[in-house]
Amino acid sequence: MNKTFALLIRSLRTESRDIKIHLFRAGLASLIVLILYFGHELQRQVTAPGMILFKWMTVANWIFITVSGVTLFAVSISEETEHETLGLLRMANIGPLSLLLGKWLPRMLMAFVLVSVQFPFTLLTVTLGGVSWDQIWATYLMLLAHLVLVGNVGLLASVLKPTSVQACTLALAILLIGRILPFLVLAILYLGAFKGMWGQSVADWYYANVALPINSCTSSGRLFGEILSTSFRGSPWTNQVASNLALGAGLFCISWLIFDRVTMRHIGGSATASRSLISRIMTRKSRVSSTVWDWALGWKDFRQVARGLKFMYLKFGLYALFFAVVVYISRISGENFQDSVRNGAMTLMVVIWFFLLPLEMCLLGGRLFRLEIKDQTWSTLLTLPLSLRELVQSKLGGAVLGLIPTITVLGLSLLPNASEIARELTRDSEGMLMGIAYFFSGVILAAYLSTYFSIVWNWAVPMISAASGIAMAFFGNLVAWIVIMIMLMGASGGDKYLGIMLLLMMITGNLVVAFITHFAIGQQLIAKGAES
Amino acid sequence: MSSPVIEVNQVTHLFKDHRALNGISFQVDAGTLHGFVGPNGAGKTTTLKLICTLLRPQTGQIRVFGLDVRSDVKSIRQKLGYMPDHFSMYKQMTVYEYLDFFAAAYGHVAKRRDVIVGDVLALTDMEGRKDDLIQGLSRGMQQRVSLARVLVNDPDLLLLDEPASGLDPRARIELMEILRELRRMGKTIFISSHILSELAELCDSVTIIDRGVTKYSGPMDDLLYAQGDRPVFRLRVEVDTEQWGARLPSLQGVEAVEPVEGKPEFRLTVSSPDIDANSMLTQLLAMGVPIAGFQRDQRKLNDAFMDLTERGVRT
Repeated sequence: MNKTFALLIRSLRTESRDIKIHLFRAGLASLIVLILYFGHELQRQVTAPGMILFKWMTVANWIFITVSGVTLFAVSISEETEHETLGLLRMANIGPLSLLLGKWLPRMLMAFVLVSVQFPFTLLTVTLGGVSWDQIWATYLMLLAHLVLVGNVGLLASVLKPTSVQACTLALAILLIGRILPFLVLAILYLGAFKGMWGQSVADWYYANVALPINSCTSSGRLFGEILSTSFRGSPWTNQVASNLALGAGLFCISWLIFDRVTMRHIGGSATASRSLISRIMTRKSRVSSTVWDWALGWKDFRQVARGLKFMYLKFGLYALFFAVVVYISRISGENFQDSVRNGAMTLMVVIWFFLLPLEMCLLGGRLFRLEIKDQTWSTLLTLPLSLRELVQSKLGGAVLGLIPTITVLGLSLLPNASEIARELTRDSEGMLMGIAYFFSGVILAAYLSTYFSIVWNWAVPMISAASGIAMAFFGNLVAWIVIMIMLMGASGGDKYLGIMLLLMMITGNLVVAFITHFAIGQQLIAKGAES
Repeated sequence: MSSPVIEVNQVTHLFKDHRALNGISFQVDAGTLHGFVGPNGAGKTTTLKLICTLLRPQTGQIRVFGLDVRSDVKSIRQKLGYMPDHFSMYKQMTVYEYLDFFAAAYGHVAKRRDVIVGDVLALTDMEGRKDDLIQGLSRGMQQRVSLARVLVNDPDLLLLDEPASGLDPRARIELMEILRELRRMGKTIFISSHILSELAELCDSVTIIDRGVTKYSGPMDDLLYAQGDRPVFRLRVEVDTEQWGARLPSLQGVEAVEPVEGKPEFRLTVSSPDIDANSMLTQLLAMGVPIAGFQRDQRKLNDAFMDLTERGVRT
């Protein structure tokens, strides 16, 4: 027990000096302050703003807990492996249970305290109206169970993987698969029933007896489908609470049981030397050297950041497969071939435009300098006889080549629906173009922020930088819109160009922040070059 | 007297409230191998980064090939090669790709690059490993590839930060051989290192800094005399240690003879700096001493270093 306390105290001390923990706290605190401000403003306009305030606070906490599971908990053991201190701790006769508890408890305490200190503000929502005590108890118990579950998912990933990057990725993958898999199976079952491979009763049974109960056991399913509805009167003790706590405890036990076997392998080799099976299969000791282009930096970043030609072919293949699946589903739903192709193209266009292109741009931003800084190659590149601008432009050029499949497919997907799109554009050309420009300004801002975070956060993997960039751009825009809406509330009438003017303001705002981030990135790159 | 390649004049550099350099000054002549020595935290890496333009000097002046590091960044970068104190490599590349990449980044066309890369691979004895992935190479091999990378641009000045750190004895000896070869090719080499014995053997001149201040800068040989010392030679005899111990003080110019404990060796301190190794060796042979080994005593560089630098942790 003393050993667990020793680790607990050490972790609390270390984390009190850790910038990322403070960033988390500051982020959540700012969000809560903002929500309270909006609640205050809403009080003037809405009769019972408590429910709106409560919803925002709950969603903010739910996101915070989920993100902390994928990041803070997922690095708890792997950071010791990376710093090569895990072996020393084991030599000090600290057992797996003490180690796990010593690393898990401080994080759990931190998250628990952060969520708990908001409790008085939650009581405010009851005063403001629209929220019942049942809802508050149910929400806090749901959040606690969710915290235990994601904390243990992160802990397990941290035991299984020797580097923080791998552990964060695994934790994210487990949470995503756990959420998506039941519905993927459901989709396959309905598709099979439609094709006559089995009766629809099989899919219905699965939906009623497996998919729905699983959904009600997930915090997100319960949060958005149940607790936040105005008519909620249920008990706080539900399947979700019981299942999340039980699963969390189970995962903790698995981490404990496999700890020695897995971590000994990590301690034996260095953290970076321990690689995944795929990586071991793919990695050879030697290969035929390829010829470097005269545009050297472009060549390097096309391979390093955009992952090269093979990945490009893979993306083309995946887009083709996605298109084929949508066309096939349309066909078996009774559409003719031409309409199926148009459906496929339209779906592809929407998915790429609203999801894949922004995500890919942010990921490229997150990888562009992160890999150089992590591998300490940035200072060497800075000694080349090139200005910083030339260097960055060359690198960016190579990385952007990785967008060729996405942009090409986006262009191709416009063709079957070209006349429809043109008709929409001519119907409200100013509004449409402004909307497109606004969306793209947001994407540019998100890409810039992702790049910035990837440089300043030493611990952030590209996925986290990209997610943070997207989240910050999204919430920034959301906050700006809410402020504008509050300011406009009660205003009478309105100019027909008011909407366009507002969009123009938002585009300008996004680009100004992106412009400022651009210079901040430049400063950070110079500083990082001198540091390494 | 050859012209200075590096001129550092009254340079001070602060990181927030920490004074890394406090008015250091020294210069490095063309075609020399110049050692740069100092305790941990003395400001060696900061000085190297200032010279290679990764940092901008806050006060004072640094000139490389007569060019100002503040205003002539590109021209200076074209003429120097910097090897940092850590492995800065793209480990997924092969050795050939890595060198070819840097040669292309320096603007060489494909045909010329093939020749350049072949030459640097030959110089660093890495021809047989050119298609090996860098991540699979040993530390010593990676260090050679790093050195080869520095050479692809055929720079006139090489800045090497702790190049021998972490290398096994064989790799270290091989690295020193390559550096000697580079000096023979006329390169100016500025090398920061903690391995004083090797520096003493290798370098023509040396700068010692401590707590951001220059303690000594000049020819390696002069360092010993700058401390008021006289040359000391180390002699190893084959037989009859006691007999020779009694006779050696009679040699002309020998001021003191000190037996080395547990070894058939003597430390001979001479009375005048004019007595060099040749004249001493001539006398020893004339006396009929059965010489098993004879060398200038290198221990003095360690002593000079200890004398010039302060003990204790920097506050």
